[in-house]
Amino acid sequence: MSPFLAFFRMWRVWFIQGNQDIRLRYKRSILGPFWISASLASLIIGLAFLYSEIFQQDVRSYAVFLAGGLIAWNFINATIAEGATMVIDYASDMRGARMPLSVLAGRVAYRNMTILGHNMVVGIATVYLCGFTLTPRFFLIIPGLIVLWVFAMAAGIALAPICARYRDLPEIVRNFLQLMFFLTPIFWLPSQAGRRTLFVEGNPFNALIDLVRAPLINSDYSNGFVTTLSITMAVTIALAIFSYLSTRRKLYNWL
Amino acid sequence: MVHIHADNINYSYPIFDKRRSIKVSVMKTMVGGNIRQKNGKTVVQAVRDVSFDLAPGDRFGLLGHNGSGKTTMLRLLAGLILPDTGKLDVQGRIVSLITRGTGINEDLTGADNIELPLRILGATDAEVARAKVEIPEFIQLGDFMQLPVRTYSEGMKARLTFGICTFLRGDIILLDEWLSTGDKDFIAKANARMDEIVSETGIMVIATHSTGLVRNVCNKVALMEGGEIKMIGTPDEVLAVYEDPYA
Repeated sequence: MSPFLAFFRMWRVWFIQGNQDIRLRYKRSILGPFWISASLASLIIGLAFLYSEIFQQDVRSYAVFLAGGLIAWNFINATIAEGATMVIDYASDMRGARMPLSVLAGRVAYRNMTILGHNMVVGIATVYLCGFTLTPRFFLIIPGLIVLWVFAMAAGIALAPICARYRDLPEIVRNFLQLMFFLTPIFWLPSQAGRRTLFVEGNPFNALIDLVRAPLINSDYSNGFVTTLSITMAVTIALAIFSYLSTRRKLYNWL
Repeated sequence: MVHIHADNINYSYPIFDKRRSIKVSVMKTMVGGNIRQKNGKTVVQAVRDVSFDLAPGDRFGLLGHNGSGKTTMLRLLAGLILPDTGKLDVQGRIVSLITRGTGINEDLTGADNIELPLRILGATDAEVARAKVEIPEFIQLGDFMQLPVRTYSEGMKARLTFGICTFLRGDIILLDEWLSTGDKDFIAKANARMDEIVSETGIMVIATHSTGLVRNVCNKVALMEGGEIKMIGTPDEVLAVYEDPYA
């Protein structure tokens, strides 16, 4: 059974596991999954208040920009970091049953898509509270989220086997993500990059963030969006296929 | 058509550990597979040149010392690992009970733990719906089904696991030792359930040390040693060799 088919045939498995993950994480808490929303809201309020002043920006348009960026970044950051360790984390499942990588990746992507849904409530609330409205452009978020889902699964499948073999790699992945958080226009504006346009136009993370942010805050995609996104997706999917084909015989011994 | 064809299959796994001296001493003992060098890496050849054919009705016993390759053989049949060389053709719905309890989450209630393990084993919607009614009846944990599994005693956990993993019927069942659990009353029920599975399954493959089990349940037995099938035959033929210390 190819992993591509397994994702569809075993959808119940990643669906149930993803729901269990969310349920168990917030078990015995009063707000439950709305802690996700609450923590994003506090981050937006805190950062928008100070950084709009530092960057000399209008606090309301800065707040929505920040909301869109953080919602997308939280998803990208979590799916890459958790995708990288999914084979290590779910090794006991893989030892006992046929658990294709695409099912593990589906669990990580689905779980984080649920979190994104909770965050989107805060995002939309921010848009309206700051005096803006959603426009028909918002519907572009649907293809955007599908692309993000595919990216998340491809990144997980690309990284997880090699991270299971060399256990230092998850640490490197986390460091890399932290660096990219600062090098990507999330809390600073694309226009502030000045001559360093590479960090905006050629930045794969900026293109991925635009998938969510541009429809939410009714802005245009960055220059070079289509090219950067296409290259990012093609490379990530190619790496995932390569990773799967080159490790599937050995993976069991790395668990 | 349900069948298993194994044709000259080999499987070896690498050793990442560097302490050679322990391996050398392991090599001298009776148990274990063949430890060899492959491309400068130390590997254990867990299954070597194994061939057999199984058809519906076969109750195939894998007999042998610890480390003789029985469990590796089951993992190959379950599709958890792929043979390095050789052909392995398995047709039919496989229910693998090699590792039990996959998918059970101790923070969830017994009732909430029924669906996922069955879905992992490949259950359909209809089977899951039936399981949610029949498993609680079978394992008789009463109101404990509504409590988190971590509050269970070991015996209760074993009942739950047994009830879940013996629920599904397949064309091929893979067993690592006979499953039985619980107190006196439950053991009788568990054994009845196992007999039922054996009679309702096309092909059964069981790895075991129990000569009594082989005699009672199996019609075909392979004696494994160092990853190889030393002989294959009826229980009487193979047990005559296995039980003879001078053979």
